[in-house]
Amino acid sequence: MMMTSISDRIETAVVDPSTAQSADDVQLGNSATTAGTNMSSTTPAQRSKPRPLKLASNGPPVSSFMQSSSNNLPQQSMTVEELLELTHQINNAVKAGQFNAQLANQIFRLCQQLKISGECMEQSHRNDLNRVFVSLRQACCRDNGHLGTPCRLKIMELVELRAMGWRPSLAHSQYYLNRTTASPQEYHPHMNGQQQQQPQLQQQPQQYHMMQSTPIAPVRTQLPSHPQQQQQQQQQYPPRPSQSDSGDPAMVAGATPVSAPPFGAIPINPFGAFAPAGPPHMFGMTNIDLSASHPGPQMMPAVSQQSMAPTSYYLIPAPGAWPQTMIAAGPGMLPPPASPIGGPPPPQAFAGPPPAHSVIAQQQQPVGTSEPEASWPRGAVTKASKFSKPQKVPGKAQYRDEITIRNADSGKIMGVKGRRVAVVEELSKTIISFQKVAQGAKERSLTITGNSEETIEFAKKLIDETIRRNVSPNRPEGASDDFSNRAETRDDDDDEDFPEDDEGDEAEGDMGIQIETGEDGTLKLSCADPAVLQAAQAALSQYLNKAGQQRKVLTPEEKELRKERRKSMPIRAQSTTDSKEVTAQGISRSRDGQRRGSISNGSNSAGVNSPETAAPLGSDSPNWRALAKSTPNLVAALEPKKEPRVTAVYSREMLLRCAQSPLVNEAVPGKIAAIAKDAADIMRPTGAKLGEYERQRAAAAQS
Amino acid sequence: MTDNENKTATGSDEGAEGLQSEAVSIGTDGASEQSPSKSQSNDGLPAELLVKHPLQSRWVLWYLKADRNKDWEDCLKQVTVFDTVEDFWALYNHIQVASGLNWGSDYYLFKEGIKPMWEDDSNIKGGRWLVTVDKLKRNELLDHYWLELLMAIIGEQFEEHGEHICGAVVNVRQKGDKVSLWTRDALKDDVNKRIGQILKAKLEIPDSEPIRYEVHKDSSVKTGSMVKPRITIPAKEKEVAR
Repeated sequence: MMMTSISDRIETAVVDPSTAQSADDVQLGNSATTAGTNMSSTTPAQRSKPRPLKLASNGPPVSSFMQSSSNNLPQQSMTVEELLELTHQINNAVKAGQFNAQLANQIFRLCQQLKISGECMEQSHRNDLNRVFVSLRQACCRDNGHLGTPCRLKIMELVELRAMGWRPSLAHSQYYLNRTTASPQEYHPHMNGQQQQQPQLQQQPQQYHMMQSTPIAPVRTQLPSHPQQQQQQQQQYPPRPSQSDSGDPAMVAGATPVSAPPFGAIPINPFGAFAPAGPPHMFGMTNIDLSASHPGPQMMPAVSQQSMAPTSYYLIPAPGAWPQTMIAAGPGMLPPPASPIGGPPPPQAFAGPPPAHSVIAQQQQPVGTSEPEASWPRGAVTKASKFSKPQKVPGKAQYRDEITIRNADSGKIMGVKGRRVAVVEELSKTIISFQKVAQGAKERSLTITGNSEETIEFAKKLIDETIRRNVSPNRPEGASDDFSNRAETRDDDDDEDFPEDDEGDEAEGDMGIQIETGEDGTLKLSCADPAVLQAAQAALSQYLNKAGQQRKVLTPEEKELRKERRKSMPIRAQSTTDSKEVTAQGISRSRDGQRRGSISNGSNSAGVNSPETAAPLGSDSPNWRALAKSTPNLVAALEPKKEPRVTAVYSREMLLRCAQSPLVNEAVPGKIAAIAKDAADIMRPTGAKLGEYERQRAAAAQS
Repeated sequence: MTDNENKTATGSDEGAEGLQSEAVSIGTDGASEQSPSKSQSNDGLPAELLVKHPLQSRWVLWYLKADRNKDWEDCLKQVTVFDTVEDFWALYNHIQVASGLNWGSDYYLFKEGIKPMWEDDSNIKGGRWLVTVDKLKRNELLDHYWLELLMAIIGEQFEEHGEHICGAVVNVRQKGDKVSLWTRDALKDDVNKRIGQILKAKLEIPDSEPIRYEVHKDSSVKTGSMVKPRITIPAKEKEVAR
């Protein structure tokens, strides 16, 4: 009874008329994902879960979701056509960059529907599914928080569900449940009755409120003024299937931050876009439930909980590495009270007129500059900057710049499920938006928004590097050698649960070729696809022969730009042959190499081909350009093969030339001594006159 | 030493200089050989020779010293490991050429991690291209074959099949020296055939001297008699048995 009364009140108090349509979706989100409980933090009355959840706990997960959500949905399950239409809408919305409440609604609905019919769809309309999943992924990448955490969780759940072949597993369900039950606890401290007295406060977290308090949801009256009570509540509405009554207090009451959410795909780093310093609220912004659901300072801790230090925020982990997420928590992390950007911008359908955030939102939309600079000469990685330097965003402490890449490279920079770009964003503390382009577009412009020109330049560098290497950028603290990189890449590929053939740019990016130049200067091309490798080989030879020629057409302005960019970008923008950097050392080395090489000094192809400028990158690296020139076999070696992994190929002539290197005489004296000791009988009696015979012979053979 | 030099220096400036430069060229033979290469590199490819060139694989040189009183395996010695072109030459320059070894000795150059024996995992399913060296042409061919083969494998000159190559062997035998190239998988006829063709080309083996590919398993079973080759280049109608 108590519940009913309260729920009534909540319905009136919280449910916005505008959400009538979205209520069911919302509720779905609530029951299916963890997000629901977060919201409880915002409104004490909503603390407990809506009743449908309880139903859910009794039945098989999927069907119970449906039941619970069917209350408001006109249709229990959509027809295939409707579903397709829905996916279409989502695709369009994502393409258009409309990350609004409507999209969120659609995603919720999609999720709901796919839980029922995902398996069928997988068989009958796989391509449509692929497409919409690409969209979802992009939504995760590009959205700046407008979709809201629940929606992201939804997407996540959907992705996982699909990965599991649409068979929800207990662990899977449990994870989301854990998140559901654990999160509110963290926020308890912020809650007290005030909120009810200050309805206007709800505007900010409104989205969550809405989700929590769907009309059909009976809610308990009690305010969670006490930890025990809270547990009680949660026990009363136990999450889902198996946990029916115990409610696992440890889990429920565990106020410590839950382990990192598997949000590899979410761009973290609202940093750049908003303010230089204060991480906490920014994290809240794009990220996860936690800080997002902070109502604000008014919510002072009424209940003493373990997690007195209220805020935790998550850094999105490296691709494939989400368990290592950093969790930071501290009292200092509380979001600034009135900061409008502290909370997630409420989707309009939920919240009505958006507050100040929308301004920001607009800022972060890709700036429409679809005009590709056709005259810009392009190498393997195309880059162009619209402005000579990052432009300051009027009225904001932000800078913005735009670069153009080949559309085909989009996937390389986005990465699987947007992970790469998320990493780039995180590392560079910028926000990168992808211009929406038609399927067959040749180019695509990226808008980079950041706090300072430096961050933007750094982002550019990372983008370039990422595309070039087709490997996610290295994290500073992370693995920094080639192998781990490769492993990472493989991870990416392995994670690919579904084919991506639908969006050409994405798919192409991920099957791309790896070109790596080790610190020792060896160049490795590897690719699963012989055709691609062949193309790369062609590009490589072309580059080796003609590199730089295109640059003639550069305007002085562009030259200036290049020069400037080069300062911050050790890697040449145009070639696929250049080195990639792993360590800082590597970077500087490569930069040196570049300086010495033809690139920065503007001596074009001649420079590349002339041995003098083609100085080796590393002290002990083969000079690849010279090598390529002098080694007929290089081309052959680069031919595609089943397991292409070509490195040092030396022709006979090259080997014989090396035989005359002074280094030969300095080499391994220790080893020779050891041989002399261990296997004296194979030492040549006249140590000094070594190789004479062979050299004569070789010379004879050569001529 | 210094005194000595000083004395000569004081004695006759001209003479001292002449002596000194002579002494240098005598003292380090290497230097005398370097100078031409240096000058050559000055007008040619200096950078190329100023760095060590890493090889695709690390290679291990083994030496088998014939000793009938010991087990075969005990006779096998790992001489050294190298992974740059320059180290290869340094090694090569310091050890005996194949023709300088005693009868019954072998050199093996195998990729690191592969033991030069049939039993190794990398060899157990493999085989070898066998090049027999005509006894009469031993002097001109043996060392040539061996060096060419070494250069071919460390230089990864077998196109995309470098992965399939395990190593190279030279057996110094009175009854006829043998040079062979071991590959990983005897069943991959296409690969092995291509490798054989390249080998034949690199070693400039005339068609009159066919080379044959033998499966290690066959060799290990049929001791004493000739193994039937799996592939022969140039292909022959009848079995090659010489």
